[in-house]
Amino acid sequence: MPPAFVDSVWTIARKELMLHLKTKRLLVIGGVFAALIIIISLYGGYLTGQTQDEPTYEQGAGAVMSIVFSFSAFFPAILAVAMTYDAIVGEKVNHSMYLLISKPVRRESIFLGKLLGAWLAVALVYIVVFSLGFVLVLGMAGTAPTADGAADVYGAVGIILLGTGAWMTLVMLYSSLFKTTASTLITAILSWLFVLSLVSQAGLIYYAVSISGQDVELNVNVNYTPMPGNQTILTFTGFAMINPMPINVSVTDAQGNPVLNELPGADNASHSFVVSPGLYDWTVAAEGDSTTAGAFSNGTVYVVPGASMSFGMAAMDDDMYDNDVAFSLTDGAGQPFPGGEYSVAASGSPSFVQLDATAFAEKNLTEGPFVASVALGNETVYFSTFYSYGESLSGDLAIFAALSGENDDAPGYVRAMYAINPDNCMGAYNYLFNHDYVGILTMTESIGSLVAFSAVCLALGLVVFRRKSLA
Amino acid sequence: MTAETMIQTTGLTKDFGRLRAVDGLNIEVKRGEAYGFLGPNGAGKSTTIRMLTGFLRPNIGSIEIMGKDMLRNPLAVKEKVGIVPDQFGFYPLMNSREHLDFYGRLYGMEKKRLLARTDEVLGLVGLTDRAKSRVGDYSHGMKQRLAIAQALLNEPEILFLDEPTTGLDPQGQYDTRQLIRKLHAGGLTIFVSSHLLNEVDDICTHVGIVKSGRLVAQDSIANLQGQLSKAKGVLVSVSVCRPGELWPIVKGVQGVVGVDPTGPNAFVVHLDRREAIPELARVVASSELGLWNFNEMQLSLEQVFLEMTGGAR
Repeated sequence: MPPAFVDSVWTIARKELMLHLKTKRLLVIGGVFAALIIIISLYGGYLTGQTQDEPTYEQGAGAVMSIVFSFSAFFPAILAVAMTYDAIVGEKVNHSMYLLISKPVRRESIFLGKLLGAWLAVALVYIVVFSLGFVLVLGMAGTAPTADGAADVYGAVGIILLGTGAWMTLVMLYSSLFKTTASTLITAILSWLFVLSLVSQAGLIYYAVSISGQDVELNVNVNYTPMPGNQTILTFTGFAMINPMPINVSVTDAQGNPVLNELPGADNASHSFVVSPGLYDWTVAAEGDSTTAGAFSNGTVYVVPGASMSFGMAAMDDDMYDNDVAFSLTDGAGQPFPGGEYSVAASGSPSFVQLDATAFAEKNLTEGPFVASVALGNETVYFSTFYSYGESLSGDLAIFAALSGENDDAPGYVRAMYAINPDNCMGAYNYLFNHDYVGILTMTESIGSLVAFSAVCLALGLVVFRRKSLA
Repeated sequence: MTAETMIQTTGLTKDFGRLRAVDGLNIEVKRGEAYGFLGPNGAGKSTTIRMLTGFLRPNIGSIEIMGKDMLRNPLAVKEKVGIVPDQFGFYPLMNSREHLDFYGRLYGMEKKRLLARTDEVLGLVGLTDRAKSRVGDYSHGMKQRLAIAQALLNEPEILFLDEPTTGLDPQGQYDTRQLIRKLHAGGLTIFVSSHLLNEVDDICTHVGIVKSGRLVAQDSIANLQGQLSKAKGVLVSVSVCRPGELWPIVKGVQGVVGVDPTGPNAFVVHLDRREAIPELARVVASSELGLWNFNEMQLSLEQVFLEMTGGAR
């Protein structure tokens, strides 16, 4: 009896895995990868330990872990290309394919077995390296691992491996299509660096250009809960990201009547006004000759006793590397919160610090006002603060959502084009860490698009491998 | 007695673009034969054996191996045959045992049988001592032996070998032929393609000769030689002690049809019947030239081959 389909797939996968582990290729790439992760983990864990009074996984190590993951963004593609570019064409070139197909095995078994073997080898590297990174971050930060934290890390590893698998199916397709390992390698690298990322971004770029100079509705609904006897000051800022030109900001109520009417603004125009107690449903619009605009508010924040509130700050340090941006939250008299300041160092990509109701409760904060401020190093810093009462103020991440739209706002073609990039596993694992990450695709869409991408490449690869003459 | 048909092709045809590489081959190989598939380079030998072993699909025609349709059910056929392709490669980082274990699993062999069979075939091809060194360090001859070992792993009923001695040194060629002869003697049906006449002569009982994609002859070697002898008549090589003209001496002998001088005192005498040989010998011996050497010429496979493929071009 010839072996069952599954058995021959496994036999081939096993052999592939063994050879991958014997080859220096995986060792070198895995080693570089491990070294990078370990250095970042040590450094990040050290910083977290320094800057957090009471570091928890969510606030400290978790944030650093997300930096670790973003540094590892290009490894799925590199590893996938390195492990699979010669999977099929290599066996043709060194003629070992002839002995393989002289055995009673289906071509599908060969294809799937090779894919599985390479994927398992990469999975092994990832799991070892990330476990090491996870332990190091926690160790350096002096925090204990939590079940949720572990679930986040390994969930993210799972998503990265899904992305790696998607890249592998594409490279396997090339490997069965081309006659030499060199052309397979070059095509795979070009696809990674240019073709797929350009095509997937093309929708976004077209969208940005098409909305240039138009009013951008940001749908920031300010459902402000009245506080008897108090006032608050809200500031709306127009913000140009790609094409910084003068922008005007306007605020209208639910009926479309102006609340704040197109005050003349400049680049990053800010407009503040006093809000009387009351319930408002306002729309903030930014208008200007810019490809993007955003609005956010900062200033005095009330804390409503008993209300669920979240508060956050974002900053972008423009030289990216030195950690001289710090956030802090003080009360109205400029005094630190009881129990110390909330602060965190930020570097590189925007860092978010979110304080939820529980955190406030821990500080015994029952009343405001409090002032959120950002301490700057000697450089330009873009920043915003955002907060919400209860379910409201959902659009306050508009600064980042403006270009891409919120999950549900990006036009279909932007989302569809974005979905063809196997690198979008990044978005999915950001969800895992930040829980409310605003990206172009939702986590379900990211995972779904990776699965669909893999399925298409797999089907094409199998057809090509079946039909192509090996002799 | 009719032996079981092991390989049967009907109208096997393969085109590469506009070139018809193989044209309507009807091959028949019976159990226990060592079938040499002979032909000049480019005659379609490799294309044919690649179709027989499932690497290529024919455009027209059918292939039955042990009663099974190769085109419809290649896996069932591959399970019962061993294949040594003309080009093959191994995984340089794996040793012989690892290779055989891998291939054995692909045959679906049960673990105990696979282990026993691995030892057997390694012993058979003489690789037992080097079974644990990496194949990347093997010589070409050792790789060839491993290729034969992997083809024997599943105890096949037919062994296909495509140009099995190409690139081997004389010792390697000799060893490979010895091994194939031994396997044939053990009852294995052999299908070997080659352009080396002495190799086929040495190994094979039967031969198929292919020319420009067509089968021009297919029979046992003895039968082919016999047929050719009949067509060409009987040839006797005669050497005499003194130079001179042989034709005037022998032209009177009944059955002699001609004399070709091949040297100053050497000739080939053409006869139309074998019964004339004793009289021819007596006449030459009693002539003034004297008889030095006298023997009936056997047609070599080379002559058969050249005759069948249109002679020297």
